[in-house]
Amino acid sequence: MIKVSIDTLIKSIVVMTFVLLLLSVYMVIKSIQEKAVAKKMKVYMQSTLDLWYRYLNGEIALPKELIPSNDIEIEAIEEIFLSYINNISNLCIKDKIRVFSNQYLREHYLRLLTSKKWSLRMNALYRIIDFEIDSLATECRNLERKTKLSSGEHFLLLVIHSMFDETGFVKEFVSLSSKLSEYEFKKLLIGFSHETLEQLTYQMNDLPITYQYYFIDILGVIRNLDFLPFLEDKLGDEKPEIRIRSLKAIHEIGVATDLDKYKIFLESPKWEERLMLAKLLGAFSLEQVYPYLEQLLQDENWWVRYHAAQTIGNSKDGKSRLETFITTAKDQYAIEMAREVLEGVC
Amino acid sequence: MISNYTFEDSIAKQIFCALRAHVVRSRTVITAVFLGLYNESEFDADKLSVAAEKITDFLKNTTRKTDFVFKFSGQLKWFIILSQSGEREAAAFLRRLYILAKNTDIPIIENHDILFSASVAEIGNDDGEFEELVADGVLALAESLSKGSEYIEYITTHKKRPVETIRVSILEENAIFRNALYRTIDNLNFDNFETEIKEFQDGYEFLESNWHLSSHTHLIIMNDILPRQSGLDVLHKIRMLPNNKRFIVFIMTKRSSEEDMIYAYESGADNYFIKPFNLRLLEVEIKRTFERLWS
Repeated sequence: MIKVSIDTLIKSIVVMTFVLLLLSVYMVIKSIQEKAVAKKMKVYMQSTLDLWYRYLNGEIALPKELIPSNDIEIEAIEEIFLSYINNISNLCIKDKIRVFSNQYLREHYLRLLTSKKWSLRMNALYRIIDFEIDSLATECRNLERKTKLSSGEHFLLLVIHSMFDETGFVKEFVSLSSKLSEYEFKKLLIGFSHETLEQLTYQMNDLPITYQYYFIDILGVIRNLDFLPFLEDKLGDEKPEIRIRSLKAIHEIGVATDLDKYKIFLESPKWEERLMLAKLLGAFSLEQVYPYLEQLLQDENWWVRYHAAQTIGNSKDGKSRLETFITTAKDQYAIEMAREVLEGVC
Repeated sequence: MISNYTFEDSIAKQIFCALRAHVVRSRTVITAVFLGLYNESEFDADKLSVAAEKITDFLKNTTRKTDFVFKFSGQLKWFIILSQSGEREAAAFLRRLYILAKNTDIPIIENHDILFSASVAEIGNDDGEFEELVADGVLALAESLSKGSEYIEYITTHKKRPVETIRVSILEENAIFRNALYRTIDNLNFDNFETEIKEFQDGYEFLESNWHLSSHTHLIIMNDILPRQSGLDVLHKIRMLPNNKRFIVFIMTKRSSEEDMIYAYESGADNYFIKPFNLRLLEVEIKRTFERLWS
């Protein structure tokens, strides 16, 4: 058993009480400071919000009162700009924010970029993206070359790179992006313009295979018909996963024109390809594709049968087709599936 | 100027006044058409009364069941009330009538062309005297007939609609965006409407305020997600209220899934804006919505 003298115990209690007291005083001071800042920001907003509205909507030229003179005003302006950007889509407002930020907020964010605090650097990077402060592009490129970067900073710097130097970024895309996580890679791609994505389709084969999958997935998320020929071309790829993801992306786009390009998957040894085909055939008229769907309805895989039945059931006159199928077919599994879809069980 | 004209059917004034009293409440304009025979002098004097009778029958057959045709006593002039029709529809009706009158053989007067001219008064309010309208109509008709056949003279003095107050509620948590919405709506100019705008931070504050309990037409622009009580909660509550058709609900959201949109529309939303959206788009949607209130 540890023996502690009363004297030591009292001393420790006194020290701890003193530390707690100091901590409490610090917390109180901090809270007072924060409240004071919040109050000043509120006052600033109340007095300038209408002016900001009029300036951003092009009703007036930039009044002197809106030029920030301290960090509190910058913080308030940040909040105002973010509210506008997140809620209002207007190219003129966006441009006004960009011009203002380049002129009056540049030095502030430059200071934050060189800060030792990670959170301040991250905050600066986010705002450079939000407010499109392209005058800091060179500084960001220099920062990109530093080795001591967190993955978060690395990703944001890549976004900035792609925003302000799209052509250069596309050239280096393969080497730049292959360190990203799936989420970061997809987030980066989704922000790209249609033209950039089109250029990247030519480089897709140079990407590591998992990144090729992500790239195809994003084309499905974007749902742009212009990428249909590219995706249809990928249906002949030797890698099954590329073919399956391409089928999925085409299904997401919701348009398929040339039935011959898809018919080959009827006999695919991969059930995932047959499943995607069962879904995709919904893009054609039932009259045109019913024999294939009937074949898929009698597939050995439950999921293929299920989606074939769903596709038939969701088509015009599909229910009567399923009813006829039930009375004429011999495959008990397929009949069961057709019945379940008709009864709305599945 | 008050007219001394009378009609063969004595209930013309009563019917007109009843319809006019309903104009503002139903937000549906009616139109008074004064029709005259341009080539009256071509008709034999002894056949005039028979001709007038036949033309009246022809007009009654040409108009809708919701319209009314009255003949002026002792004159080849008619007063037609087109209910649920504005000036534009009345002009289209008259053009059809002019063609039909020329191409239709009316028994007894088949050897005469029926050539009309008319004056048209759209009624957009429930003020004013019937006699005053008739006097204006007859005067304009004389002007129209003096210009030739198949003319239409428009009377605008009875057209003005009363200014209606519409309540607008903005339910948005973000004070900066709320202010932008307020300013945008407050800057809008409407011909026949004025707005009373109020801001709320959340659904609870709105529902507790009783601001929504008045009989005004009420435009609610709200975010789907709000603290304390969400926009969708508010939507459900107001759609359960009696006479809830006076609420026009615009939902704003950050969620762009089609399922969410379908759910909002099925729950009674009238419009759906995915953030970020252009405030000009909101402006035109509000203007179109207000314009559609009148038919």
